[in-house]
Amino acid sequence: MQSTVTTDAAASTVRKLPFVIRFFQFFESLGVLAMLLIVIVVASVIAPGFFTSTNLTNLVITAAITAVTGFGMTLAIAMKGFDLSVGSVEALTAIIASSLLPLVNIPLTIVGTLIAGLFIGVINGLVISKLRVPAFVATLGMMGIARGVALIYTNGQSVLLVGYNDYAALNTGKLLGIPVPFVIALVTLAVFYVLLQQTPFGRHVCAVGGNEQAAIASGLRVDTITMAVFGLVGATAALSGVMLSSKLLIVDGTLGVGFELQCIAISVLGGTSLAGGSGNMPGTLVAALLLAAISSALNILNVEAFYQYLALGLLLIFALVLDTLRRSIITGVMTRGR
Amino acid sequence: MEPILVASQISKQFPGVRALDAVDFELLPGEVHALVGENGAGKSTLIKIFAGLLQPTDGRILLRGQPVHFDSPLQSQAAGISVITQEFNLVPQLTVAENIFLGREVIGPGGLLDRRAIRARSSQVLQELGLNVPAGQRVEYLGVGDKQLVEIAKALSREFHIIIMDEPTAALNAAEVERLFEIISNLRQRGIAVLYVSHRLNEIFRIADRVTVLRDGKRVGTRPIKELTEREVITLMLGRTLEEQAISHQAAAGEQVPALSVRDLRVPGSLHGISFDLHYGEVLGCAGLIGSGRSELMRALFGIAPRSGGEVRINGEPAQLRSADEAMRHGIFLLPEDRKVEGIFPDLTVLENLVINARHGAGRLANLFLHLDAERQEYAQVRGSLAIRARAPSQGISALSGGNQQKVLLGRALVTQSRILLLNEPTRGVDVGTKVEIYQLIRRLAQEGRAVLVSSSDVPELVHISDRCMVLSAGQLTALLEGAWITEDAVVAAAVGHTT
Amino acid sequence: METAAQAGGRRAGALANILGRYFIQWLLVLAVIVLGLLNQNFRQPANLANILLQASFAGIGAAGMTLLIICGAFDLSVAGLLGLCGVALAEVLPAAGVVPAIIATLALGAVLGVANGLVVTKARIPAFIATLGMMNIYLALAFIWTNAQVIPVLNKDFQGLGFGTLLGVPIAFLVMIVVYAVAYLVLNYTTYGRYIRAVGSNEIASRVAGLPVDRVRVFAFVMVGVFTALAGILLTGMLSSANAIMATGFELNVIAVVVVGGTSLAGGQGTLFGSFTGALFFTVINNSLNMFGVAAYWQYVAVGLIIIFALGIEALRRRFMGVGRG
Repeated sequence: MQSTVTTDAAASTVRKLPFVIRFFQFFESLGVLAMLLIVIVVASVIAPGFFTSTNLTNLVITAAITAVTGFGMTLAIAMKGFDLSVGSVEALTAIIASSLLPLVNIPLTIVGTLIAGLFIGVINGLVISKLRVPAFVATLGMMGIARGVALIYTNGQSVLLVGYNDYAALNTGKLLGIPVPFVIALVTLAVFYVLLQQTPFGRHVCAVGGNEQAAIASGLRVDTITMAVFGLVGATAALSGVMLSSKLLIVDGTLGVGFELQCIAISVLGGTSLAGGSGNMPGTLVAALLLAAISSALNILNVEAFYQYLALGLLLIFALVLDTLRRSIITGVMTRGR
Repeated sequence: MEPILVASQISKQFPGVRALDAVDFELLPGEVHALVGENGAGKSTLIKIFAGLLQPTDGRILLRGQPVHFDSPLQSQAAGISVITQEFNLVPQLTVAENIFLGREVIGPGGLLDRRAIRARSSQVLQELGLNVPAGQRVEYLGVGDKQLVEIAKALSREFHIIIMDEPTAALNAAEVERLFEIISNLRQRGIAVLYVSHRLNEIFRIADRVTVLRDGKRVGTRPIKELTEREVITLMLGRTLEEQAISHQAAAGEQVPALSVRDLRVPGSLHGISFDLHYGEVLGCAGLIGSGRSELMRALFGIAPRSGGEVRINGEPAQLRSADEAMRHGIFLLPEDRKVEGIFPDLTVLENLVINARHGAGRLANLFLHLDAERQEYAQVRGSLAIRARAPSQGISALSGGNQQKVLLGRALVTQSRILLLNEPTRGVDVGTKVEIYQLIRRLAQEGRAVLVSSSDVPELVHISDRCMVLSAGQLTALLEGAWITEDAVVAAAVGHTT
Repeated sequence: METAAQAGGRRAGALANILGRYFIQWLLVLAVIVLGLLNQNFRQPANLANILLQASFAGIGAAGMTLLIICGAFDLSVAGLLGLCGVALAEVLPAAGVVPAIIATLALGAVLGVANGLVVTKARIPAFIATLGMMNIYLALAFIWTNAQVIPVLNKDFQGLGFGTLLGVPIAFLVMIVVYAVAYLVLNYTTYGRYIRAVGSNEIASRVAGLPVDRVRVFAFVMVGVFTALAGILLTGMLSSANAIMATGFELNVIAVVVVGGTSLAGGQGTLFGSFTGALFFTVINNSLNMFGVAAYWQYVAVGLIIIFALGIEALRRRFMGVGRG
């Protein structure tokens, strides 16, 4: 039986909305891509040496390292959580990898480091779920702890990786012409994309982020999901740590400061909303490339490092304002349609 | 017939309060069993026990004769019990289909979602409900009424034998309520038991087979609905006979300038040109279904909803009303619809909740500081005037009952000396005893010279207290009834009909 | 009629209540007594005075942060804010003199607070992310201004401020006491103080009641800005120099102090006395770690652990005492 009263407004809503919403979803995915293309074009013109094979390779590698943890952060943001400890974990795991390398072979080093990252992440998840603590405070604490442990373990010194050519190949090698780190990023993207969009787990993560009460009422185990998500974030931070150590070949406890900011920035820029409930993985990768491109251009133009701090801060605020704007426009359309 | 669910001597003890006291309850398959009682009678505690959210301190539950123990909502659901509550348990960012199958996703090869199967099955359930929304639509893009129906679809799509509905019609319009009742009849025929919790006695008399009344945590009676009248049910709920207070109706005020003079008011998406006058000394009711624009009208008059046209005059002078602050400076007061979300400050004391808007100092500098003595005096006055039951002004507001909290919010109108009161659902979630007190209060506030506009989804309530009553339907004014012409039939007809 | 058992239970409940509500105060007293007994260096007046001095920086910052957290927001930019203010002071001092320089720095703190507040209220960005971004901006500005150098402070009068004592008590600590008194007054005796609690308790209800929510938030951010600038002034005095990263990790310390002090992160209620005690407690722990020869890096770990530990206590307290909203 069709109702004739008042739902005619709803029916017209169903018809009208898709355009505006589809416009925004379109813009979400392509907006970052457009920005990236613009930056690349502009940089190629005003920064000599930008559009060279060497520079582009470096750019892509830098982006890959950030993107990998970015995927983890996107997953966390979809669950309405944030992990401020990824920078410290990246440093700590880079050091762990460097310590394991002399002892075991490369695959085992990588696996061991990933497990360490996973472990730290699960602890974050435990604190957040069992102590009912807001994610950013718990991970703020872990940020201090991991950083402290990294500094204590190395006694403030650096660890050198000399002669580990196979390990360095993780950074310098190419697979079908694509730098290995970027391949790693693409694989991670594929894994996380499928995880978020095509598995029940991914839907549960979105449910917890979109409406935790509803998730609980549907019988979802929020605590387990929290621990799993933060465990994954920790693992991605560890993967970034591995990639970073294979690139720098010299690690210390001061690495990764400000890394968490970059990861959050690329998630939001890439179209993931802070409101939770959804995540844009491909957007994160594009945004990582955007950030790396801007950084690279500024470097070539000999702009001092601290201006890049400024740029990152402004870019983040810009991305956040866009997110808010987008949400309010959508809400506005919704209420007008009713 | 064997009952499907039996609760035997269920008790629930909280520190300091016995929420349930040796309650016996049984549910037969294929029956619609209503559960009524005042706020605090134990209804929601009993529901939470059945839902697995709470464990009884004493007593046992039998499902089809077997003792069961629900340690979690999961266990209760696995046992075939489904609970639909007033809070939407939907994830806005997921689609309708994903919401329906949340937690029970159909998995294809490789552990991935079988989206086709999920969508097909969701569409099927939605069709049964007559919901013309694509299953792939994100829930956040649905209207309020549709969301509730998705909730019900969610429950319907599971293997259940018992559905518990807690105030399911709170957010539905009349047509959707009809649809719901049809579905409930359907369920009845299929042999499913429905436990129907509601404050709305007229609905219960329409749909229920039996009714159980709780009072102060005890079961005071279970009877077939045919054997009772509404007054008898209320008597059971209150434990005393409800005195019919003579509610005196004043004739409309004389040749004064109207307090509010609204012409062609428009709010995008909700109001399409409303015109009326509100006089000092009268209670003007505002009836209408959900989505008729009632709420937006109140909010627009208070300056917190966007206006796209029309003119509002206060005491004859045009006013812009762009913000709550501005409205309050004109002497307008709004009692919000949902006091938990929009009304009270849970961490603050009763006193602070009452005087939050008070300005005791003369001049802006003096107003930077609090005037605690003046506030305490004010509190004492208002408390006496409204009969607010609180232990002390320094008590946390959360410790008060819903009805008393509502009185505190009403008290704000007295504190701010507002002369134009906009009351949005003044007795929502308030127990029957306090409801009557609030009706008296509203009449008194008007008699003392204020202009009162009451918006309510409770039609008998409006019939009871209004001098005049306007009816909105789909954003337009379809009727303005006066005095003896205000009847339930007239109001409902105008609410679902068209302009005469 | 209450039975003996019930009366005993009630008294035990009241005791638990007092223990719970003044938990951090008892902890501080305990720590001081135990450490004083264990280590005689700890007991020395010079060391105790040093503790008071060291506690003032995060302590003063925490006074503002407590108000902001009660209001329902967080400010992660304070490390950059402090650095920028310290740098400003050091740069302006030679030209302007002590008092004008201090006033200018406090004004700068207020302005930065307004900036933070506007970004959060006008752009509607969650506070902790917005301020994370602002932190970068403030750090960058400080770097740019100083060209990444350390700026020395040679003004003798000013150095007196940082190191000076009054009757053996460091001036910085006396300032902290005044700051907390002011914060207490604002919170409990002014309209905006009550609004801070109302907004933190229920923002939507605040709007419906016509409270100037955005202005209240900005006000809270300004309090943080001014108090942080004040902490920066004192820190610059103590270090006799300023640079952009002089307060790295400050936000961590300040939030830890507030959390340890017992203020709920959910907003709406909080305790300034708790933050005051928390600052002292924190410094006592750090000081004793130093004393026992524990490497500086452990302090990072300690801060993190203390935050988590304190939050755990809070969670237990909530469950055990049923404190919180009805």
